[in-house]
Amino acid sequence: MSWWCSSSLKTWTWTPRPYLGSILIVLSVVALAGWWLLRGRHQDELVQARAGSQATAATGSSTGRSFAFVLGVVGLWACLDWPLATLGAGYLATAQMIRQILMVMVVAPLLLFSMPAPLAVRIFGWGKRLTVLRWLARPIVAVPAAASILVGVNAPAFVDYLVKTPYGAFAMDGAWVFAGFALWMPVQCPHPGVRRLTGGAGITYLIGQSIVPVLPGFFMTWSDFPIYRTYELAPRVFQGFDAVTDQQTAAAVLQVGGMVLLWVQISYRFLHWAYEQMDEDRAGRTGGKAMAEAGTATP
Amino acid sequence: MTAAPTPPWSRRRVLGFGAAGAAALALGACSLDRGSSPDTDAEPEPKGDWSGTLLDPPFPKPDFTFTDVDGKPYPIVEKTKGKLTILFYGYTNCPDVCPITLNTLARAKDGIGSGPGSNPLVLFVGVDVDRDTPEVLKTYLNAIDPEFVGLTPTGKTKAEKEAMIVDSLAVIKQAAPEIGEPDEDGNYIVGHPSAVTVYTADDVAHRLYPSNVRQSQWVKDLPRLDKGTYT
Repeated sequence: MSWWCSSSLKTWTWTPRPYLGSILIVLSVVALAGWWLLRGRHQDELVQARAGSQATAATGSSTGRSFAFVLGVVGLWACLDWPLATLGAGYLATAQMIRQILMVMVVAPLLLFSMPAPLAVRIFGWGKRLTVLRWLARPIVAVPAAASILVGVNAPAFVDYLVKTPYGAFAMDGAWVFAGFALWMPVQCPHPGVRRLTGGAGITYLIGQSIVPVLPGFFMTWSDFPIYRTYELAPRVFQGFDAVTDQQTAAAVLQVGGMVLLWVQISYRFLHWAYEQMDEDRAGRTGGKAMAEAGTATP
Repeated sequence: MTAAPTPPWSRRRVLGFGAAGAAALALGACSLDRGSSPDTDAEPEPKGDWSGTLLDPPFPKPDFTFTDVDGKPYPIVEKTKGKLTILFYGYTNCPDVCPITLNTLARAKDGIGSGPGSNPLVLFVGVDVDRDTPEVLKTYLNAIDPEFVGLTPTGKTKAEKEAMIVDSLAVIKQAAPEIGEPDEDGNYIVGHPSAVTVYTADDVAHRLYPSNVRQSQWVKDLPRLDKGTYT
């Protein structure tokens, strides 16, 4: 058993090859969640009270968060282990882009959404680490950070160099995770001490972010030759699926897949925001009517 | 706003999780399989902006008469005289190097389009005497590029055919193929030279290419070789 995936000139086989590192990481996340559940929730109220009025109200029911956590962990495991990780590290650019999209657009927001605010407070506290977190959750920092990481780790020189060894491939996966958290932090930060972008501001931010996957995808679509040496010279997994077709499919996954996932989020947020506005309007009208009735009753 | 006291033991515990994970990964990295680095960098890198190694003295063409995919004799020297010719030895059941190299050459040809270097004569010699029959070679190459020429050794016996492969490889200073042990299904791999020999119009090879040459590199080198430039 290898500890992390990396490229290889070995012929592709569908014989499972699990990776110790990915199993340990997934188990660590599950263990952290289990430990938190076993501690009990009695301290949640204390933390919420401490956060006071500056905290952004947490959204999502407990069931929804649990469901998001399970989905996030399953997605994380799928990204880091055989077969997707093996295919992505050494055989198919398409598989690598599926991993990237899953990690950045699915796993990161789901894990951020599922993280209970008190756990975020435990990890980041209320001191210097929170200051750093607040800084990272600013769109002016998050956008360039996520964009530069995603463009950088998709550069052929980086990809071909990093996927050669388990260490390099591990660093690349770590960069994706960081980019994913950076991208979603302004709208999904679980710490109650960080003011999140909600409503129209959050939607505008996500629309702005949708341009990020387009940048690396552009070069992959329009290049005359395969840009990644690793995937060009890798043993073929599917007959007839050559390096150029693979690269163009990877570009489509990155651009279309990333865009679709982002717009699903944007649509969800828009509907949520619209219903909130409607509820507020309704509450306002009801309150006004009640006040008007009270006013007429009072001499 | 004042900082709320957080029990230090919980932070230690969280840090402990991270440290344990990192230690486990580091331990795993040291004690387990270090992963397989691609062999694509194992071959010597040529100098200058050429992807192939300069041969001094140049290699002659193997003066042998093979059999083409239609069963007709194919005297290499005569049939390729004055043409840009690419000679590659492999086998149709090859899982990696052969299909990659042949597909790369086919796509490079497409990439050059027209003009010098756009129509090299690609000869693929099947070294697996038992399985690489002319019919099998024809089907195999048609799927990659129907213009590629498939060749099998000529001879009455298997030993004669194998000797022809070994002798022709010796001309370009390449080692003889090695047949692997068959598995339970009777499949076996064949160890064979992966070098690609390119002959220019003067009927000698001035450059020997490794199997890991990329399409973009072929597109750069083939037109120059076709024009007679090799240094």
